[in-house]
Amino acid sequence: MTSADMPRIGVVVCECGQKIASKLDLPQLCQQTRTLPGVVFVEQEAYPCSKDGQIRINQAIREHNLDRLLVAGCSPRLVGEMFRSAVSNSELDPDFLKVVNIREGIIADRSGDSALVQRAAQQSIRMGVAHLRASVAGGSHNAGVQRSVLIIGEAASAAYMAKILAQREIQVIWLDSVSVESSNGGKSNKALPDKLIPPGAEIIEDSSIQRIEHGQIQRLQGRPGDYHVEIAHSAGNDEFNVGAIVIDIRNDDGDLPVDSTSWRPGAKTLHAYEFDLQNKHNEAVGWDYKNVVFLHHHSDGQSNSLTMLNDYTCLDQAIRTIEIDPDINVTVLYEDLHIGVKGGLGEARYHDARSLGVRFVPYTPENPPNIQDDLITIQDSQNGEMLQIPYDQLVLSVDSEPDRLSDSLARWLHIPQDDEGRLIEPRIRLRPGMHVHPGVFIVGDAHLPVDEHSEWLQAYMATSRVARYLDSEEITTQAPVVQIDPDRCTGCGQCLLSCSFHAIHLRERESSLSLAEVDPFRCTGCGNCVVECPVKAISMPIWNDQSIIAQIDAAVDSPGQESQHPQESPSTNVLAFLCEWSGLAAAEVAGARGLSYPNRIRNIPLLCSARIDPDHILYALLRGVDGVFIGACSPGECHHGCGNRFTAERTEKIKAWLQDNGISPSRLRYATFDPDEGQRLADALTAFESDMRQFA
Amino acid sequence: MSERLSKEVWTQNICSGCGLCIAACSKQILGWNGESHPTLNPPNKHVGYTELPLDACSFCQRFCEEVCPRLETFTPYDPLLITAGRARGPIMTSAPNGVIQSILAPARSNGLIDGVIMLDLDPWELKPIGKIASYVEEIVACLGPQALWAPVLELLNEAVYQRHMQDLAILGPPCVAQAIRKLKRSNNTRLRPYIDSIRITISTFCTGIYFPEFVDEILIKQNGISPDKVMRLEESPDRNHIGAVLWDGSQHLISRQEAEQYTRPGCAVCDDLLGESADLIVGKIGAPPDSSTIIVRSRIGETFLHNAVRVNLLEIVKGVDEKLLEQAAKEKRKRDPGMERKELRILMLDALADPVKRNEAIQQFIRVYRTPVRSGPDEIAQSDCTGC
Repeated sequence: MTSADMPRIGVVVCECGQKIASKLDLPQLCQQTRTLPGVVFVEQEAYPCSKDGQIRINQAIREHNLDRLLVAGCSPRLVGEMFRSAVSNSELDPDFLKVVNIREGIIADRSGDSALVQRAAQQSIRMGVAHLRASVAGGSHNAGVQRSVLIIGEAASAAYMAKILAQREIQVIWLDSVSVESSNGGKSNKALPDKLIPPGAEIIEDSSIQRIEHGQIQRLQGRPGDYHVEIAHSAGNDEFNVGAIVIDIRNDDGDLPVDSTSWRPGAKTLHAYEFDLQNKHNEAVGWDYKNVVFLHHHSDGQSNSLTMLNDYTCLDQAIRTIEIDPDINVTVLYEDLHIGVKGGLGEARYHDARSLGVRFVPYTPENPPNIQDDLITIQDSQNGEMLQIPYDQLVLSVDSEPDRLSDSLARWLHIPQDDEGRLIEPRIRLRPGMHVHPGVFIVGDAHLPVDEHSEWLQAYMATSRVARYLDSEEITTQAPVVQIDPDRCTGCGQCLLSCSFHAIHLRERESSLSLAEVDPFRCTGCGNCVVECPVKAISMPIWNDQSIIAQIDAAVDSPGQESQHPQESPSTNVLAFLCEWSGLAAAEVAGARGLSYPNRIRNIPLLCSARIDPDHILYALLRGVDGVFIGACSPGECHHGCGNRFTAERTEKIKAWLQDNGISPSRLRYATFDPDEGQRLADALTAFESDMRQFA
Repeated sequence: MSERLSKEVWTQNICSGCGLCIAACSKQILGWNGESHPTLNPPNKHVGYTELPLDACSFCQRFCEEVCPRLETFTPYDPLLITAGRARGPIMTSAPNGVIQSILAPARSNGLIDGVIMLDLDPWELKPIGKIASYVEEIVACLGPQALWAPVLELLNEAVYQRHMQDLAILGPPCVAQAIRKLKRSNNTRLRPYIDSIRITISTFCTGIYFPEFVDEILIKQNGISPDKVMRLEESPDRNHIGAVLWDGSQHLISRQEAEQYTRPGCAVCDDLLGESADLIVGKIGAPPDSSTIIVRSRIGETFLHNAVRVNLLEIVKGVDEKLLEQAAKEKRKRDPGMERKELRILMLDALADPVKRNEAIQQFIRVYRTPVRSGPDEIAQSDCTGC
């Protein structure tokens, strides 16, 4: 690096009124900061966060031609955003504004050792400057959004969404009655009977709706905002470019206990959800049942929350039917009903049903019910009696299974699936109703089996979200996006599986090896691929290797200190890598509450714990740090998919390495926190620091 | 415990998956356990009423370490002959698999070999499996897509000790050839039976081999093609596609890029594209139209090639683009830094235990990450240093 491209770093040291100024020797701190390479401007400021403080910062940026700025003051998460917006009009790239916390170390200090506090503050500033000096800018990406939507599903809600979106002059491609080749060669067609379609959702013909029936997705690729989809249907293949995709596929039917070759569900047979719809319809036109039979069955080997749901729905519907008209004969044929714990809600429902006159007939899988057109013959497994039950309405209370199409869609669109194969929301608490990639919306059964009301609510929600998304016309990246060096990439494919968001794909190139490419609109900046890449072809702006190593170096080097106090232990003995969303947030809560934790811990904030490289940890240990602490998000709470899981696995691996080499694995600790667990973090850090003293 | 294997190969995720350590283990306690590398599963030993895990490795000669190709760096064998050819046998083809078949089949019928260990495809499961082929029809019928992974060398025991084969050909990716090369270099007399019974190693050009899971993920789940509709999987000659041929005659292509995300992690640090340790290597890079490039690296390879040409099953074509070959090989050498980083990690771990190495490890780390420890003074020194 020559002096020409050496960054010009400015440092603003906040007095925070007297809170900082009274505890630290700020003139000395500024003096020491001025000697750091790259620093061209250091200023002490009473309240940089005030309006005129911000104006003076902007002035300093202009006058001293600063391209990086460090604010040494209080909580980065509290004031970072404010400072970033304050400098947004200046030449300074907001990525290059960094806040380091020197205040809470003072407040939390219980040792009363002012020299230690001073050194801690100095070291934090040194680390901040080192980070700024070594980091590189990211920049953001923009791209247009196609004003068209692909709706996949045959439900009435899909028809509704198509209609409304078409009215907003959005090109709609509606893939209706999707067929998937099932393993037994048959094709399933799950369109609703016409009479059950709720008013307002009639299938309509509209020139801006292109309706494709029985289509099969051949290929689906592209980036958020511009997906390319190829659909094969009876009239040939069609290709579309769509900006958004809505998935509204229905459940597949579960297994039936009867021999499907002798009997097929007919007009007098309805699935449980269809029965609900029919009842709604009947409220208007009147009831005509005399004998209603519920055929309850669990699919083989299934036992989960959804089988339970099936049991409750069955009991509920039986009770509701008999409540409409006590003269209706209601029978439940069951093999195994799970009604929960003794004395629980399920049992109470069961007793209710019995007292209302619902008849329960158990059967065994060996003697399944024999269904004829008006009559069901069944052997009561309790007394062996053969029963003949007439029916004019048969309701199939069977477990629902996710549509087979969801497997395929999950892979085309890279949507995570749960154990049953349903498409799941990754972070239900943070972004309800939102899915992994912008512009992909999931409604109803595809996501979780829902009743009619929830399905409609979700459809309304999705409709407005699609409209808003497509109206925006442009999408921008939110996070620092990783960059892949094509000269170093060897196309080994390791990064693809390391990405929770499937933001990386391989492209063919002239040479013998493929090239990995990043989709900036899917990348969330967790940095897991940067760690995984065996040849370090992937780099990340702001949190690049050099900047993290520079921070480690700055944390362990204390120039001038050794000579003055040769007996004194080094001012850093524990390095804490803290995830911004959990560990760092908790540290700030701890600081804000004045909770004390040892002053010899230096932290390196990261966007996600997955960015922590094993090499960096080993390097830190080699450079004389006694222990390395990792503060990550609680399981399932990661803002970057499953970054914390990658980190946990990686930590275990490093511990095994250390163990194999005769080094105590306890020198590395992985702990998870919620953002508000300041006390727990302070306790964990205190305990870890005192454990680490034995290695000093 | 097989310390070096565990420390330097398995936990560093660079296992090639060749399976030779499993065959060579004298206690037969290495096996696959759902990991991408073998694991040690020592049996329990009963002493009276107590049960103790058997300390199987303390007094072992560590055959596994002696044969592992990843514990060694190999200087390439110089090529004796670079040429191209196409199969002229019952099937006219220029695909590498066809060329290999047309070399192996006459070798078997002329008695140069009595069996082949190679990769086959289980048509029921669509999974690659190792296979010992002992007669010509088997050799011709069973050659599967070489880009899939199965630990073929696992079968060495069966071939050598159960089926008493004495002239084996081994067909596998370059790492398999490296493993055999390392085995042959060993002085351990207990490994002699293996060494003596292997005649030739044949490889194909390799940019990495894939876990077979991608068949399930891409073909079955993503594209909804049920496995019973697939007749066989085929690799396109240029290795750019893996095709599923369905019973109805249609074909579904999976591009190499789609499959590559299932590359074995060990391949990410392997720089051997042209089978630099094999006797004979076949592939598409640099080949003139309608043929495959053949590189011969030993006298034995030459014998096999001449044998095939002599019985008119192989036609030699001239005009291999050696520049292109060189270029491609150079390209894959870019994977070397992966190995370097693995060595750095091992050095750093050693240095943590042994302070003498500490400075060396730090210097090496700085070199690999190209970052000065104290950037300030070093930078100035760098720019002004005249190198005197």
